[in-house]
Formats: sequence, C-alpha cells, structure tokens
Amino acid sequence: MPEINILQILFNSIVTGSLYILVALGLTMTYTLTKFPNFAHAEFITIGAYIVYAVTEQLGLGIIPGILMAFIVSGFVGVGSFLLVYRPLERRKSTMVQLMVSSIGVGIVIRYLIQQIWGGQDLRFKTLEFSAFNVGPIRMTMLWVIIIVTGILLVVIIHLLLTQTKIGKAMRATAANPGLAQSCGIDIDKITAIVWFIGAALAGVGGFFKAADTKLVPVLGWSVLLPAFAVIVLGGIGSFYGMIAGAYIIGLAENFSIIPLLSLGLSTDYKTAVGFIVIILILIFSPSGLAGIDWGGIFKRKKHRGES
Amino acid sequence: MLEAKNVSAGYGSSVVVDSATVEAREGDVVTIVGPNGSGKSTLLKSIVGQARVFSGEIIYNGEDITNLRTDQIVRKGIGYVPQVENVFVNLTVKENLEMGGYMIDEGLEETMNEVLSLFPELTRHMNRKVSVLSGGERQMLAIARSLMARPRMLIVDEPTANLAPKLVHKVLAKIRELAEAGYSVLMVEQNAKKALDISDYCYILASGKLVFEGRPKEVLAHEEFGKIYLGLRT
Repeated sequence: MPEINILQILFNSIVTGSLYILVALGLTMTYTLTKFPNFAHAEFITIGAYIVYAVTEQLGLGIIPGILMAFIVSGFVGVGSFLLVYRPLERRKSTMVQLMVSSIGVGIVIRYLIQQIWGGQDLRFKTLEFSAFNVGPIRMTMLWVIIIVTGILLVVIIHLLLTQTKIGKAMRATAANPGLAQSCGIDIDKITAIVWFIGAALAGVGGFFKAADTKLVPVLGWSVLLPAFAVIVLGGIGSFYGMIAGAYIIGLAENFSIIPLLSLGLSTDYKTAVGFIVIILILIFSPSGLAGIDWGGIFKRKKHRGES
Repeated sequence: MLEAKNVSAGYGSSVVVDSATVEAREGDVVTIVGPNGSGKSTLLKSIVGQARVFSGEIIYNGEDITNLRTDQIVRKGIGYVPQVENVFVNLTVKENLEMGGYMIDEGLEETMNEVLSLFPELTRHMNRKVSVLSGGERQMLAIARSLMARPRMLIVDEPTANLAPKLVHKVLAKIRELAEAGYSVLMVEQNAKKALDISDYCYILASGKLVFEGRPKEVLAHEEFGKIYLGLRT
C-alpha cells in the first residue's frame, strides 16, 4: 500500500467539497423556492463547461470571457427552463413528481442539443495549463486552489446576499412563505426567476471547473449531480449552511475512504459509494439531515454535563 | 374607500362566497362575522387576490382591483394580515419588518420607528428569530409587518385566532387604536362579541351569503342573529 499523506487527503477533500458547493448551491436555491428536485441541473452544469470550451478553445477569447459567458448562458438556460416549462406546469398545479419528471425531459433535450453541437466525444481544455507544484507535503495545481478560493468566496457572497441585501431577504421570505411574501409586495415570479438564473449560472461555472479537472463529456453534469443531491439531502434540504457542511463532509468521507479502500485492496472508484454510506448513516439518526439536528440542545446538554 | 360589490368568489371552480357586498370607509373598523365555513376568510382573500373572484367587482379608492395579484393590490395601499402563517418564521423580527417595507424605497428606518412606536413590545426582540415570540407577540408582529408598507387600509383575517383571552383583548384594542390613528380596518373575527365591541360597522355572513349588515349594537340587540350566527347567549 502506498504511503498515506493525511494533509494531501485533507486538501483533496476541501477541493472536492468546494466543487460540490459550486454545483449544489444552485440546486438547493431552486429547490427551496420551487420545491422539486431539478434533474436538468446536471445539464446546467454541462452547458457551462461547453460554453467555456467554445469561448476559450474554439474562439480563443481566453478563460475570463469564457467563465463570464458560461455564467450568463447557463443562467439564461436555467431561467428559460423555469419560465417556459416549470412555471406553466406549476400554474397548472402539477405535482412534485410531474415537475421532477419534466426536469428529466428538459435535461435530455439540452443534453442532445449539446451533443448535436459539440459531438459526444471526450474533449479537453488544451489551452489551459495547470501544472502541479508543492506546498510543503501537499501537491496541488492552481486549478484546485482556484476551486477552493471560488467555493469560499461564493459561500461568503451568497451569505451576504441572503442576510444583508433586500433581494436576498426577499429570496428567503419567498422560500419560506410565497403567499405572505406577495402580501409584502414582493413580486415572487421575479424573485424566483432571479434565483433560477443565479442557481443555473453557478452550476455552469462549477461545470467548467469539473471539466477542467477531468474531461468534457455530454454527461459531465450527471457525474456531479448525484453527489450534489447527496450534499443537499445531508445538509437538510433547503438549508444553505447545512449544504456547506454537507459538501465538506462528503468531500472528507470520499477522500478519507481511500485509506481503507487501499488497505482492503479495493479500487478507489468506490469512494463515491462511501460518501453515500455516510449520508445513510447520518439520515438514520437525523432524517432531516444536519439542519434537523438540535445543535443548540446538544451543546447545552454537554455544558450541563460539564457543570454537574 | 373599499367596496366589494356582488362578489362571488372561491377556489378552482367551487364558489364559496355568493354575491356578497361589503364596504369599508376611511377610519372605520368593519368586521365580518359568521359561523365557521361561512366564507368570511375567502371573501377577504378574494379582495387581496388570494382567492378567485368569479363575478362582481372590487373597487379601492375608485380603482378596480378585481383579480389583481396580491403584490399589485398591496402596492395600491392595502395591507393584508393572513390568519395563519402570517410571519416569516425563518427571519428575525427586524427582517420581518423589513420585508413588510419591501416596497419602500426611502425612509425605511423612519417607518420602522413609527411602527415600533405602535408596537413597543417588539423592540426588545428585534434581532431574534420569530420562533421565540409568544402567540400575541407574533400577531402584533404580523400587524406591524403589514403596516410597514404604509397602507391606508388593513385587511385582517381572524387576528385573535388561538390567542389566550388576555391577548385577545390586547390585539383587538390595538386594532381599535390603529383605526383611531387613521387606518381603515376590514376584519374577519371569530370572537364576535369582542370584535363587535371595537367595530363601527359589521356584516354577518352565513353559507357564503350576507344575511345582515348594520351597526354592532343592532346585531348585539338582535336575539336571533346573536344565537344563530354568532354563538352569543342572550
């Protein structure tokens, strides 16, 4: 068995967790408002990656315009699917299952459109060079550092948006009680459309990072969608802070599972399954995920025990 | 100020309110009373765009607001306090008030101070989540939230539902106070006797139809109405 570098595994866990935050954040935002799991989110992830590819590799315009275009195009694809498909279905009182199935349909349409334009073969970002370097015992690439920094920045920005801005508070109000939000004069259609734009746009940017780290294929989004769902279920559906914790827990579980997998002589590909085993264990004890745990109560009980 | 003329309203295709006409004048507390399931709340919801008006019209300050969206109606100066889920439980008291003043572009702070002067009991909870509030405080917050939009008229759906008797009196007294301060109030209430005590005019709704309208003392003096529709003992 190769030598285990705990710091390296910890670093890799943070990279994985940050990537999951990028893709799960939009999913949790749209779920909170429209109350159905949007499977087309996978394609919002994928299309972002392809847009960056088109702008950087095919048009040669550079990475920053590429990411900006991915943000905008994925955002509009998201808001378009909400306005053209989900909102009309919601107005016809469609059930959660009907909306979920329709999202699978939307996803298939987008995926085949992608395949029609760029083909089904594996693509790689050839113009982007991310050479590896060492920081102490940790080997990293600039891409991984950017993923971590972007994840952290995003968490801070979304936290500030939700807690310090009028539009962010209106998003939380609309998610909690759309009828009451309307009676405050909030245009909930507009708020929902903004949330779909931001959610899909972030997914598109996350898709680029995933593709830059691996390869670009039309099913790229599906490889991160399931862990993204796992992250939001673990965090407690609709809980922003639970989602963040969930992303890093899954990241840690997946990467640290490499140690027992290697010692058992098993493939490290099983690490994704280990992440899901962790979720099952947590959900057995707290069906509402991390957000459902009475953390205040736990700390109080600990304090009481300490005092007595 | 507000007139609902021959309004038939309900949900989907089912008619709950049948050709009801109610009017609320400036500075008055107008109360709609009646037995459970008589369509009182549906009538209020139809006025604020949360139930469908099948026929009839709703005029506010000379403008037809029939079947407008709730946010459009609120922007015209009507505040709405629903019976249940009338505060944002995931927000703090201050954030609830800020959401109430969502439409205000300038002077949010001043408006909040004015509203808090009417509800001083909320001041000490400003940065706390709504979940720590008592039932009465929540109801006060719900009314305060609706006032943040600087409405001229308040539509209040059963403000004393599930409140302890002491709080019922407090909430109704506050509503009377608001009317004295110049707000018009159209209210639905189960506590008929107590609500009529603070009202200027009232309507009795039964099985979706208006069966009586008049001054509260007329209703209270009428033995049959009191017994049949309001559960009052004479």
